Amino acid sequence: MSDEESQIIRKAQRGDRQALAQLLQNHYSFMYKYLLKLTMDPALAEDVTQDTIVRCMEKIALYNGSSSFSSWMITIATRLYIDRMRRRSREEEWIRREQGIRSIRWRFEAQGEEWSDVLDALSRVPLPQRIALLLKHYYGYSYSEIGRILGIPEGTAKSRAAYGLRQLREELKEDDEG
Amino acid sequence: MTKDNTGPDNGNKWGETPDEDGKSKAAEDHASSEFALPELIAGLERLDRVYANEAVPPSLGELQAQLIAASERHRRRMLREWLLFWLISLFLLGFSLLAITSAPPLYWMVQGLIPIAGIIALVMRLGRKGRGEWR
Repeated sequence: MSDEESQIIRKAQRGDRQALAQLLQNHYSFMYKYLLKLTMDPALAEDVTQDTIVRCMEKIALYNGSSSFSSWMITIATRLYIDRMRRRSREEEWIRREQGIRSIRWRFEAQGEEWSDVLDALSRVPLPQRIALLLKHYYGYSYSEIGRILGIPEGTAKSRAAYGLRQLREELKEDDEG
Repeated sequence: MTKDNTGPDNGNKWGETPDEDGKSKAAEDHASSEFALPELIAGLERLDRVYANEAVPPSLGELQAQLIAASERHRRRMLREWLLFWLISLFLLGFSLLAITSAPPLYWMVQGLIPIAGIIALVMRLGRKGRGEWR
């Protein structure tokens, strides 16, 4: 964390609204992109980003600097998303997932970008494994860090990431065969 | 691997493990050895590119307005919770006083039932927790 950022965080914790707005603005893009990968649903990613911003505003005084600010935000965002998903039925989850992936696919086509089946496969990986897979293999967190983010033991984080990767391969294989 | 994989606050705390190129060694090692991972990383980077416009942060003014609205909502919620707390407390206190003066057996029955209900709820909660981590 840079000195400049530490200073902004301290000011924000003392109640400086401009500093807090600046801090959240600096991390907005990163957070949206993380949630887009996690949810595979642009509208939902935006909603959860907004919720995360509000939660960070409320809880900024509790940030103790033991992790990077972005990791702290990732923890909040991930838990908010998990809470939302817990309240949904499997049918709702399935419908929403299909809508999300369809809108992403449409966007790829509209921008002339080649579609990647791996995104389809990723959206079908169960959420706990998807989170661990992304945090480990895309964001490069260690298993103990993932454990801290998700509030689970390190071993569980490791098995979730491994299972997530296996699941992703199976989904890709099914796509190839189908 | 994407450049912003550890957020904008590059540093050396947990969650901030990039090397000089901003890449995560762990992720890179796996990417080279694991089937599906290079494809996954390329796909996710493409996703970032396609949604680059949506990832543009709101203006400082908008965020400050949001901050003011959030603190107002927080203040109102605290007030509501505080009022609810006192309302329930007064109701319980009134009920207890009424019961102890006009119907002592009822009072002692309630006093006995509450801890039993609490223990049952605790056992059920622990049982649920033990069966699965979540969902």
